[in-house]
Amino acid sequence: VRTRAVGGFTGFYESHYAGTARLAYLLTQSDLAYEDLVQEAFTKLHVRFDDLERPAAYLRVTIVNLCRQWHRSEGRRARRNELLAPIVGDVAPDVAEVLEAVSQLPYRQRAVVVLRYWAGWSEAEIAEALSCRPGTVKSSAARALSRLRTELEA
Amino acid sequence: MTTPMEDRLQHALIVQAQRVPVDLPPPWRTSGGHRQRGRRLGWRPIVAVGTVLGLVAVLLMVRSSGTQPRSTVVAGQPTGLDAMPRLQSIPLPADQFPVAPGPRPVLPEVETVAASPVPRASMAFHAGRSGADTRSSWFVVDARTQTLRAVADLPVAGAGDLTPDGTALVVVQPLGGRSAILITDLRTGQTSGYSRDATVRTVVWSPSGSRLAVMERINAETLWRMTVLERDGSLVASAGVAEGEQGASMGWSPDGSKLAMLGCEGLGACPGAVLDIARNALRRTSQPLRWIGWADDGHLVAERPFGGALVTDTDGVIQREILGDGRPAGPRAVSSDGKSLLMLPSRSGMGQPFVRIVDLRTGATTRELIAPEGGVPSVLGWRGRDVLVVRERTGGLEVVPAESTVLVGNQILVLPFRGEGFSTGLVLAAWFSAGGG
Repeated sequence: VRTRAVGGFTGFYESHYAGTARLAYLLTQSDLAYEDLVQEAFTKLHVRFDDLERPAAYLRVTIVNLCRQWHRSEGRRARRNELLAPIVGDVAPDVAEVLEAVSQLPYRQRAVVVLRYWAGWSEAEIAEALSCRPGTVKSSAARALSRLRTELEA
Repeated sequence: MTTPMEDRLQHALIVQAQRVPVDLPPPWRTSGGHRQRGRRLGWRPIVAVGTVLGLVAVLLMVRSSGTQPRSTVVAGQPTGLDAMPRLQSIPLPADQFPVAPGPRPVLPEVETVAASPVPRASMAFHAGRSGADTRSSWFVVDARTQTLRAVADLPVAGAGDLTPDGTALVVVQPLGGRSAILITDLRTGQTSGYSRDATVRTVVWSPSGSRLAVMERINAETLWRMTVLERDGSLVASAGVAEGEQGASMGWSPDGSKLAMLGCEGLGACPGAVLDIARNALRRTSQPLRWIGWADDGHLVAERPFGGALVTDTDGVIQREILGDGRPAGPRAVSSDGKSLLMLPSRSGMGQPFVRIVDLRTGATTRELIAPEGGVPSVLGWRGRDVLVVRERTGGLEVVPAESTVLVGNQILVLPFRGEGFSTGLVLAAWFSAGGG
């Protein structure tokens, strides 16, 4: 499979929008928030696009940080619950059960789980995005898995 | 190895991610979209009103003093904005396009040679211009002389590909709701083409160079189609793919009888599909994948969502695991003899400290090429027994014998575009290889 040729920022936007939107959705689980966060991430990228050696890496770090800021700004628990996407619905019950358990994780643990098990990033890359040490990523993953195991096997 | 709980977790995340409606991204707005503008105006209206009032005051002062504003446009010298071509308004015949302007040197050190085929395993890429210049210059790195030469200077281009024999270059020119497929004969320098009433996103030559595979969205349809065309544009086969799949990558089977497609690119995993061209039948893989390619025996080589790589049949049924330990992996290219797989330790696009070569038969890692200075953000493929990688520090292209153990800076090209009026952000992303050596 050959690398698809792309041109300019618009081409980058079109080719990276889907993956970035899915990542933002998994990190926020909010139908209302993820599109705005993705647009904001691309806006930040657009300003510096021509100067960046690795625009994809910049985009990844930006969207993870924006999702973290979104979680922090949603301090009021009730308000956040209102914004949570209806992750049940047409998905299978066992899938909904897992997603519900993931949504209860603290943001860092949720981010580690999504970035590791969905995006397939390495510990070093997750650490860079979350501004922490690789050891913290490892311990967060262990805690997240332990918590999920407790929830799902209860 | 992954636990059942981890597999269940990963499956749930993939299912959830596929529910995001991202078939067509919203049009890009530099200000961040209407939602953001509406929500975050804040003090900006006050500043805007103040600015307008200030400008009006300055204009009145200039007029009253009898001087001419400096920005007056001199007749016959249009502004840069006026000079920008507006693609939608270009009159084009329905089925024939004028010959594109001949190539010309765009950089002093780049030789312009159009009427000459490029040797097998040369590479082509394009570099978009910055600012108001919307042309796209296509270059070839000659595999024999390892020199860079310009081959075509086209109005604007999205995707493109070189024939495996290096005699023709195809590029896609977006025209609003239509697309022009332009083919430049590198032996004569002449460009011809035809239009598609569709938005063409990806174009790939068949191994024989006689057919084109395109991923396109027909106007007024919501789904993308994987279409096979003869070189003259006549239809061979076409099949719709699932919503949300835009054919980010396509690959021909070595015998040219099948076409594999993976809808997603970048982050995440999605189902792959294989089009049997003779039967015009589309078959979907039974599990989501993250990368898809072909081995010489007609089997698919795929990356698992959780890492590792597989060899599967065309239904996606696993034949053997060649890197099944769950480690993050970024398989990128099968060697031309179908025996080896070139991988990065991670698929994130960040610079990696080494490149891995895996034996497709045994699954064993046969060699790791260490990058002591600067990372390797991507690998481009094979050229004979050499591997091609991009070096992070210089943005250069390095050719390394597969028998090596260290990437030693054997670069054949450091892209010379920075500061030359080109948009450099995506130059490396536009690389693609032709042939396999």
